[in-house]
Amino acid sequence: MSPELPDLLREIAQAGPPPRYGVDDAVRAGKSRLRRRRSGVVIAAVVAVAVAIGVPQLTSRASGPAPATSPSPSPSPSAEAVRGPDLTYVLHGFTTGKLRVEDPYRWTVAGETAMIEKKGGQSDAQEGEVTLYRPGIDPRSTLDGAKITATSAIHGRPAYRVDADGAPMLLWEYAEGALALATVRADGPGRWALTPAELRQVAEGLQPGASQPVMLAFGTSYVPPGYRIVEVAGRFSSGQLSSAQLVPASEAVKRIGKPDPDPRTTKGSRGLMLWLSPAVASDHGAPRAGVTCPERVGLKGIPVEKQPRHCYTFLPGGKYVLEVFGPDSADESQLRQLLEGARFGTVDRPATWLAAGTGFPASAQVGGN
Amino acid sequence: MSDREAEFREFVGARMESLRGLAYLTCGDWQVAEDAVLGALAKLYGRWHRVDNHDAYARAVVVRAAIDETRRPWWRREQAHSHAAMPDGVVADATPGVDERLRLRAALDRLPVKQRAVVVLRFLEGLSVEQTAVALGFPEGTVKGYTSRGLNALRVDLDERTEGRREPRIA
Repeated sequence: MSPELPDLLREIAQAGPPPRYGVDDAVRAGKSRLRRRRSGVVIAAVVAVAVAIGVPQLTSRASGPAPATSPSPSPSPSAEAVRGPDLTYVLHGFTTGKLRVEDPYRWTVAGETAMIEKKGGQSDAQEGEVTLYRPGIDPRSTLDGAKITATSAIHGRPAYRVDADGAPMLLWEYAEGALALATVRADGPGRWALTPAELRQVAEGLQPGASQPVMLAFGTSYVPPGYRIVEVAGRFSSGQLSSAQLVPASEAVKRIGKPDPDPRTTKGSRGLMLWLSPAVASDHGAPRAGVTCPERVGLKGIPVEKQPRHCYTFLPGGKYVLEVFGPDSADESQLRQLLEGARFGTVDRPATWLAAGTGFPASAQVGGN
Repeated sequence: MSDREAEFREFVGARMESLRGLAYLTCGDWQVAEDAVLGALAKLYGRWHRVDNHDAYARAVVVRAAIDETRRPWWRREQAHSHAAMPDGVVADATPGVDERLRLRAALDRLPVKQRAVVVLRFLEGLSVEQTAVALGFPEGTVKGYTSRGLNALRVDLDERTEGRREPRIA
């Protein structure tokens, strides 16, 4: 008899490794969360259990009818975009009514992203996000199927309501030829954490300012030849304190002037991922000096020689590790060199972090040589 | 121990494992799945007396969290990890049952995450179209469409890769 789909799904679901969490962990996490909520402390996307519920980007990729109205601004890539963006932020955190837009936490070749939080909202998850795209980048291609309709101008510039499977979003021109997109977190079936009016409030309060350097808890004096930084993020959740993604220069240059590629559909190598996070004894062992590159083993039917490269080093004090993941073709000695050249700020004191623009070799900048 | 804690403990003891499986099938990573479940249960604990159907609430929060986790920047690291090493086809296992599970797991991974979540809720959890719509916050028509497209994509995918092997019956 042929196996039924439900049976196979059940078998897959039951075939996992021993669970890391038990009933006591769930109770502790629940009590901890309750305490935080009662204390009224807003903890931006940081949860003691290393979990945060994020903005459902799925809503921005909904399927459905074609856009009813297209935004008018479709500027061509500017000279700035062709040269490659600097590792700086132009958005500065601000408060408008009950809403708080934090300083950006993520930089990519395409733009910068900040969380939107609401006073009285969920303490461990942002209510939404706003992404400022660089001049000339049009995010409409990431909104397949969403209904886009013109709405009243914001600061005299065009604005558009975006409806993706019921999720309200707002797209507007925040500067000459530059678009921003505000998205919202799902807050239950058919409910959204921010209203269209609140998204508009964010847009009206948002003004780009002077460029500020993107800060990371780490930097390095060495990056394998030919790699360029395409994404950095910091202080996003307790599971990710700082990270950076580097891809081969040819791929990096292709990203200039376009929205970020969807990682689910992008083919080929994702390059190098650098990741600073709390050390986990079961993964990293006891703190020790130097760089560790675990021996690769065949997993999931993938032969050992096709397994990705992975090395890590402990930060001073042993509480955190900086890891680098690379494709199977990466040179392990180069990954070691990258980690040996790493420098760190004090993880718990962002004021000591390093400017990404100078914390990496100039050759690793998107427009580097 | 409060009534809430006692009831919550009993619920978690009975449901944590199945919620973990649900999250895993949705996001494809055991560690991410476990974090999603723990986060959902922590949320449920705080709302224990305000939620009528604990099972439905936990299921909905878990699957949504698992979907959301696939959007996180750090997820890209994991994706980079797996994509960098993913061979063109799934390597067959000598054990037929394991092979089938691997092929189905791989086929599920190739579905868009919302379709995958719908298929998992419908066919692992046995939810109706209406219940799935409530859990995911989708219109019922969307659930029907995703179910149909998801099953069809699985069928086509498995057909293409089966090449005479025994295939799971998915409709």
